Amino acid sequence: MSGRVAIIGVGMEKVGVATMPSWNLFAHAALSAMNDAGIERSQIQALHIGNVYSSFTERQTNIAPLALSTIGINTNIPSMRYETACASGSVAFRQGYLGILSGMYDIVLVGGTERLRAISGTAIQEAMATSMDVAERSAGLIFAVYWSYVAKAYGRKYQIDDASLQRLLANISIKNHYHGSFNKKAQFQKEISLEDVMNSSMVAPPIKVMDCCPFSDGAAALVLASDSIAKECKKPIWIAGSGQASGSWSVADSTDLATNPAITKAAQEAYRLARVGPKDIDVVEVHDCVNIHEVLCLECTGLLKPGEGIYSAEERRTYFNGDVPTNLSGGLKARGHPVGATGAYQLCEITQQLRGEFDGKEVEDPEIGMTVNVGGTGTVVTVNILRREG
Amino acid sequence: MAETDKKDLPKYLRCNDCGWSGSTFRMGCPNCWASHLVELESSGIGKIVDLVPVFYPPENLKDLGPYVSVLVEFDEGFQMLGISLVKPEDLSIGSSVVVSSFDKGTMRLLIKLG
Repeated sequence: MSGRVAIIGVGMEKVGVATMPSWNLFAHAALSAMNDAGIERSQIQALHIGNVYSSFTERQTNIAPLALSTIGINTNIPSMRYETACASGSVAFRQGYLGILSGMYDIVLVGGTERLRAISGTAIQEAMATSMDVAERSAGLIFAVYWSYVAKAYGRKYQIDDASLQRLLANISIKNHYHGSFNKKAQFQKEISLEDVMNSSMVAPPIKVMDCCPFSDGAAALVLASDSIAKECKKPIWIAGSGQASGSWSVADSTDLATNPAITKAAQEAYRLARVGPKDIDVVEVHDCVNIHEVLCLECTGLLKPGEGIYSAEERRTYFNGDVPTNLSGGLKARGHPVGATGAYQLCEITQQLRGEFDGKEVEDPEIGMTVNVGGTGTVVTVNILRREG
Repeated sequence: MAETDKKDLPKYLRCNDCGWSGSTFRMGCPNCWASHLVELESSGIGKIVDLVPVFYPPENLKDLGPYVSVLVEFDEGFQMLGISLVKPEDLSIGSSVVVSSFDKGTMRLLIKLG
């Protein structure tokens, strides 16, 4: 086994509405990452790419070798596509990491790409819904309904009245838009007000439009390298710990929707491998597809105590200068949510935070950062801990 | 005679070893790892655990118009998601409900007040 694995290069396309296919988007991000790493195309030994909906939105499957060809890599290296709903990008990252850790490879390209905005909003919603159970969808389940159940379960558990719950949730969206307003890669680089959120259309009470992230196009890539190669690079960011877990498949069978044991399990594995705990984390990107989920991510990873998460934005604890700086990219709400690429964006953003190179709000001199990427109705979870040395 | 007689009713799984019950098909008990799950037919009678009004139905449910998603705990102890066309203001947590119709093919479960 290789001793350690580091991120030696990152590349991100601006999130929003793209004018090119997802594989072209990824090629741009990949070339940026390789340029950042200072390596040539010929040095890449494997590609792991996350993508969920290209078969729906672009009528194209098998995009891993297509992306490889588009990048201009013609060395017949292995390429794999991963589909684990919104966690696809970070699962691809993790598989690349494990490939190097096993000793099989020394330099691997990983990341994710998605193009959703080429089709209608209705068609996107239909496609995205397929990440949930088909029988429960026939029985009325849509994502907004799921998050409504989660928010209401949380409110009951911690005895928060509906009006307070809506205000507290709105403050999370406001915080993420504030951070996103500084991020040059974000889809929405503008602040929003409490009135903007509270007056937005109700989707499924208490969830409103401005509680939810947008649909986005985007691609992000990272170059990973083994210990011996990374040591020669200018700013390696080490993968200190990585955990993955699967959550309850059926929403109806969940015993407590106000928490997700899979996030806790993945976090515990990552903490154990990194030999750190929640108090050591200096900056985190979490999966705020709907703002209530930021609360669950922070609580289930132990970054905040149960029942604290809902107050964290209003108390400014999760702002860039708070004690748990969260989603300095703007999160899914403001940076955007290019589904199969989102986890890869989080990892690029934390890498840049640790290098002191993030083009947006930064925390001061961070050493350890974390990402929490979650797919479906909490069914796929990855937690990754990154560390800067020296 | 029960109101649910002669209708298709949802099935559920029960573990003979520990008593766990659930609505989603699986080959082993998630509670005690036993393989002795038996499939039984529900009475179709239960109570609402939670509900969410849906103002904009998805494509696969467009024919229904606005509906209420209901999470129901059936008398047998398992939970299942269903659809109610009753006005949301007439439903509440704890309301007694019965199966109005169940399509075994699509698994579409319609619920009404019991």
